[in-house]
Amino acid sequence: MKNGNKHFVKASLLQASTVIELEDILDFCRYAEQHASKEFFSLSNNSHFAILNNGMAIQIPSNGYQCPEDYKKSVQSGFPSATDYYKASGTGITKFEEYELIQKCGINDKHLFDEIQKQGFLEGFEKYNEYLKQEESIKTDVTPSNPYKLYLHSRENGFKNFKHFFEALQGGFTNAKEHTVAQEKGFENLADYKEGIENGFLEAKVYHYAKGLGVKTFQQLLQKDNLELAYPELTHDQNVCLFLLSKLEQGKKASVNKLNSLLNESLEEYKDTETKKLFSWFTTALGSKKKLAPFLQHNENVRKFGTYDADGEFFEVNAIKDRSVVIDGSNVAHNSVKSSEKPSIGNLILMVKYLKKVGFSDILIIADASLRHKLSDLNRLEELSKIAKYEIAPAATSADKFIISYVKSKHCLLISNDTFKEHKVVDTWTAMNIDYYRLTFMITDGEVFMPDLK
Amino acid sequence: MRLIIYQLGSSINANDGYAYSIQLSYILGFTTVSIGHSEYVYNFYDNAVTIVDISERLKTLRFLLKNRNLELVDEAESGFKYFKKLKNKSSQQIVASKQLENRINELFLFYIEDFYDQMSEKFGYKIMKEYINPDDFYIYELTKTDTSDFEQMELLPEDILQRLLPDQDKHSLFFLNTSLEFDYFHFVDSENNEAEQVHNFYGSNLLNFPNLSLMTSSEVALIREDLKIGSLKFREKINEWATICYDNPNSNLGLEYFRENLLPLQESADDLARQSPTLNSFSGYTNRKGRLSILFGEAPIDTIWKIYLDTETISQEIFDKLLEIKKEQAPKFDGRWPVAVIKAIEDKEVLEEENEDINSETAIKSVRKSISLD
Repeated sequence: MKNGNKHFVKASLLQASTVIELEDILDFCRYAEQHASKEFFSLSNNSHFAILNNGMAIQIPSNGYQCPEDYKKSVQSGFPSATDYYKASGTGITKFEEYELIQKCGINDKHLFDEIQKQGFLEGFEKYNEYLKQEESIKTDVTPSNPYKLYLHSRENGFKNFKHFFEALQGGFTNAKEHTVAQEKGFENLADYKEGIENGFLEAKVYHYAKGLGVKTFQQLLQKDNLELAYPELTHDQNVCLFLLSKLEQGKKASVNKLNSLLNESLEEYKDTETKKLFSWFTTALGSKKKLAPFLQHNENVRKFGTYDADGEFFEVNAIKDRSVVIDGSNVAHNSVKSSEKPSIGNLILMVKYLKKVGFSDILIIADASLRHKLSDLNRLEELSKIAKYEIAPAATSADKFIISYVKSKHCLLISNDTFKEHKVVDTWTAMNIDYYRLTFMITDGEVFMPDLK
Repeated sequence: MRLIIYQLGSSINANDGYAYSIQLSYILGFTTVSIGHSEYVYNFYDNAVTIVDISERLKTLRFLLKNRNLELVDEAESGFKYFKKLKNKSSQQIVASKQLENRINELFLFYIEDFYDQMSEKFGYKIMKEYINPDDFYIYELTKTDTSDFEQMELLPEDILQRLLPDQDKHSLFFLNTSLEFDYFHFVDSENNEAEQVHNFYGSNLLNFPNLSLMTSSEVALIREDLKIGSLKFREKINEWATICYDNPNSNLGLEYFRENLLPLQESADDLARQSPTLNSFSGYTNRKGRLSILFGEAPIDTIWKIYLDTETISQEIFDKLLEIKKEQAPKFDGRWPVAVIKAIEDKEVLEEENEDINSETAIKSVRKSISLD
């Protein structure tokens, strides 16, 4: 048997002038090297290793090792016993530290161990435990007890390595997919992300903006924005009041009591369903009937929709012709036009003349920028400009969006046969309110017909 | 259980419902199989960029541009041919020829990216592409029936519609996306007695979802995980039902199981989607009108074929061939097969709006609402 460049011989020691037993395998090996011993002897059923030098036997107990080289390697690598050393080398592990970890992890696979090490879980495990101690608020369903369990836990939750896992954990995330989605939306921690999506925010930016305003949900933020669009200088309840007035039946009278009751009904929309209180961001000035009457009497915006009679304590809604009106330019220009034909300015002129005839005076046309390129009678644009204001939707904004936004801010009437179906899908305000303002029409044989103005 | 989503780019129902079908099937944990134009678009970009020959690139450009900007391709093609014919090019001609090639390459890359982006947006490919794998979501390719360069030899439409698909051990259920009116199919609610007539298509709406148009690829994976437990129970029931349907053709055993075990789910159709906070967060962005529902039921086999015919997914020739097979192999295709159908939720208000004949020459009605003061 050969061991390295040494011969390894099984033997029995019968006689030697001197027998010295060394205690340390490293001393034994050093002695053998210094004296260039070529043979190692395995004595008494491998109970000792020995070398002979000038009739002197130098021996050391084998302690279960098969040869002195193994014994030396084991000691150098920190193994406490031959059993551990051979168990470890059987799985390809050469260091006791690693072996000890594997034992603790309950695994027996060098490749797996290497993978755990490569992914940073050996080093990371300590960091992880320290972090958990510091951050007591972090809740984990399971606390992995060793690097292997941490590795498994991390993998089960979709993480690529310890760095990925730990980065997410610092934000409170324990699931990689959730962490990715949150990151894409711009959320830095789990608490904000959970609160954000629970309240309908798809972006952290919007969530933080709303939070800064004291607005809890995305729907509330839309409500707030829509309210403030019309009369930003007024309180929210005054805006709700004006919004309500803009939707009342034309030409009718309503007592201040009735209006107060309608206003209270409208305010329900702005109350927390649990506390039954108005949202914290919602500003008020019209706390009672006493405050409503002066508002109706003195606020100049109220006059767009009607007149308040202080003596009679009633509000008379204006006739429809007294309202401002916006014309959906493209929709009217295309009316009664077959698909092969071009839209016409003539339709818009007919519409404006008709509206003026029935008494409207504040008329605005809003059209797509592209309309002028499609018109059959562009030369009549000047004629139209003389009888009504003509505005083009800003570039890169669809005229529909611009028109809806205009109606939201002015609470004016809208002339269009477009049902705004696509906008209703994505915008609750449009779905709930646009038909309070929209007047349909038909142009045929040079005549305009509008059922609401009969 | 596999859900088969079969649709061509030329099908008349080629709309975002196709992408939603794939996404919903996947997030519900069904094995999702896409057949039709997915094979084309999913692989389009990867295949297209490997085209290096300038003539082939010009040919592809012509195909992509259809009728727009064709003068651009004509001009590039005539220039390319001109330089190709020249035997001994001057150094200036070599430079000009290289510049032209570079320009063609730029155009080619621009338009394939543009096309891919458009298709991805419309059919959701970018969202789902990374989830293609042999277990959860894969594509069966159609037999090459046209001159398109991107289609591969695989399945015949008539085989697909006889459910002669690979991996026969797995049940396959067609996931229909149709804009056709339900009355058209003799559709009856599963509770209705007429559902017991095997020539009727019965079904009920079992699941509702918010509009998915805002969903990203990462969200698809997260939602699937969120719904893992809830969808498992649902899938098990669907699987049991489908097994009964397939094992007992021309009978009402499937319907009986459906009424007993699946119909009660109708009352909680919104509940599964609510188990995912991410799905829930979309609800605030769309009104009721943007929501989707999935209806499950059994349809007569030839009705299923007819739907594919009427949506122009198969030709009349294939349909006739299938009817012939039905006759020859009677009674194999006489009964009903379980199906799923994706539908946009149409509430009363939407239906009324759609029925509004607003541009009619003869009638126009007021739609304006007001708060009554009476």
